[in-house]
Amino acid sequence: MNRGRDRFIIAALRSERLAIPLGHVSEVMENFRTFPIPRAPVFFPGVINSHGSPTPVLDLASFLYGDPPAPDGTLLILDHRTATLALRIDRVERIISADGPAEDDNTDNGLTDQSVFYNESSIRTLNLELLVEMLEQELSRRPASSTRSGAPA
Amino acid sequence: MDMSQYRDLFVAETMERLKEMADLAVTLEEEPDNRESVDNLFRMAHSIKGMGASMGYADIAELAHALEDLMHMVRDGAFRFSPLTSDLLLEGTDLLTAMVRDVETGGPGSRDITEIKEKLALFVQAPSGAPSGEKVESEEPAVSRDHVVMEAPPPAPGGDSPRTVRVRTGVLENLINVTGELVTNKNSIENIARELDAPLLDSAVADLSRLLRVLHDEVMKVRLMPFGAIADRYPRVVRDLAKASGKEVALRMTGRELEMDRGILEGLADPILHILRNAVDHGLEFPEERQAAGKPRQGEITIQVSRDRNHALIEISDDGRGMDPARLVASAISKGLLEKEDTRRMTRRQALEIICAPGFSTAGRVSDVSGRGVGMDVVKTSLQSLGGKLTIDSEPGKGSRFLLSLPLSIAIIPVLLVVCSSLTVAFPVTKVIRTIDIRRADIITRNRKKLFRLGEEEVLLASLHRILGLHLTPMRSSGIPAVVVERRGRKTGLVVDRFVGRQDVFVKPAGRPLNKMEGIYGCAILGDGQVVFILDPEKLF
Repeated sequence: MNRGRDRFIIAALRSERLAIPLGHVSEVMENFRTFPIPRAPVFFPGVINSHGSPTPVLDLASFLYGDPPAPDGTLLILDHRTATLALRIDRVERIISADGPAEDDNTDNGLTDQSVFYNESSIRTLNLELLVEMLEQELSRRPASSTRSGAPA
Repeated sequence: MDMSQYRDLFVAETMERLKEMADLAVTLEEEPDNRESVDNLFRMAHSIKGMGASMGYADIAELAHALEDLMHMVRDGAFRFSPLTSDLLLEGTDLLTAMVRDVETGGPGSRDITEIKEKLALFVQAPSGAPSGEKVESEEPAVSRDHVVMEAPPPAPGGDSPRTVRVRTGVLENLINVTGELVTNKNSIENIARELDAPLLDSAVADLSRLLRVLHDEVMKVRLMPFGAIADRYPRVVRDLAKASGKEVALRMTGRELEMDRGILEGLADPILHILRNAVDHGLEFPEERQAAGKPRQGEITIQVSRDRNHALIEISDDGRGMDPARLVASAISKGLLEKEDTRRMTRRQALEIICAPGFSTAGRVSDVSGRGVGMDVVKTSLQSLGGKLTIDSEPGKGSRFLLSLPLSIAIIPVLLVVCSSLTVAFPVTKVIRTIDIRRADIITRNRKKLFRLGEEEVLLASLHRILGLHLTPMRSSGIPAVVVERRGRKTGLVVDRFVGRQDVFVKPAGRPLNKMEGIYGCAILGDGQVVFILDPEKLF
């Protein structure tokens, strides 16, 4: 399905790149201080004080690939209409206008189900709505008693 | 009676809904099958109809009723939402906006609504773009959007300036956030001043601290309002509704002085109006019926507002015909809202709550006052979004009782801050029975459970570290600090590392997706910018 030209943030994430719809991102932050979240899964390394709004940080690589959370990086703070959430990525590679997303290829359970074209390569787009739904499902389960972000290293 | 304060509130609330309706109409053009948006549009039209009728603005109520009918058909699947539906809705909301602007400037809120009503009537007969649908599109619009804008009267020059200003709670919340940020920045400056060892800077920071404390207190205070701020209009509303229905009704009210957070009060105004409207229209009998049943001709509605610890209780009761749970269940089954098997283990209270299901109605007719039971759906969802709950009780022949339980303040609550391993967390003070330092010798082990004696009672002892999945910290002191909380009616002592103290905090909701975590009441930002989580012991373990 083609939805016309949209703007995307090309996010570097380990050796991968992901396209994140720019319209869903309200701020990019590089220096941040997190505070632990009680009983949160390990892919939530903490919460930040984003202009007076407590905003949990999701370590995308940890959530998508099971990597250990990284201590630094770049945060993409999502528009509050999408979610109260900041995505930790390695860095912002650039912002592009792209034709797409292109056809569905249904990988990663639909979490990165569509592609945009950048530098003659196809980059998968992160489905933010689905991501938030998956996190909600994950968080609504009673957490196990180990590996919490509140636990000291 | 001075109606200007009700009029201002009516204008503000209706304008907000009309804007939301227009936004939803546009959204639905792209997502025509979005059931939630269809339901919301329907509810908003219903709500405007009710408010217009109760304020005596007949044209507004009539046009809103026509829009409600349109959305009712979409909701029932008579036809799919289309761009034509959106055009009509936008035309309707534009016209309603012009009418409400007229009310705002003291006018009667009247316009010629004949043409838009005809268009709507034609459209619902052939909504799919068939001949009459095309006719709708090709007709010169009765009131185009531009025309409405031009016709809308400008603000009255030199008119009376308002004595008060209606402020959106969002603006106040921003003020509180900014105040919190200032406190954080002030703390940073304080730290720098200490490092610089500059007495003049210290003195300036001390002045800044005092001013910030005053600002903080004032911003917090401004959120509290008496219940009367929304309730003063209800007697008139009930009177007019009763007159329109041919009924005799007395409204009694107590506790209007109870102060509540303005965010909660603003969210409550409409749900209470819905309950009152339903009570007059459906709950209370006609005078002759009441006489025949041995009741006084005049029905009675009572609003009692009271406080129970940190909750406001609003009880709205009537002495009308009441509701029969069996009849409600049968009606829900016949409408396909429930399967027969679902109702076998249903309690009386659950049966009564069927009236809150979307699309459920016991009304035999649809009136300008209320109908279709849509109001109770709105009431329930509105209360839930405010952190409150609704309890319904009713007895056939004797009347109904709606109990609304809400937090007094969603903004400021006293909390107890405790440290547990690497975490600082908070408990609402209302959930804490006491704090205690337990002597090791007083701990008993029974059936592999640790207990301690609190007065005459043996109380279970649990580790907050374990509950939160944290590493245990070795205890060095002789006493073990614990927070005694109540959970499902039983006391439990939660062992922590240390108490920090009590503090008033501004509660911020955890937001999506963190709000799905059990045991989190909300978040707060402390003076040093630190974010702490407020725990709800009832749901924590």
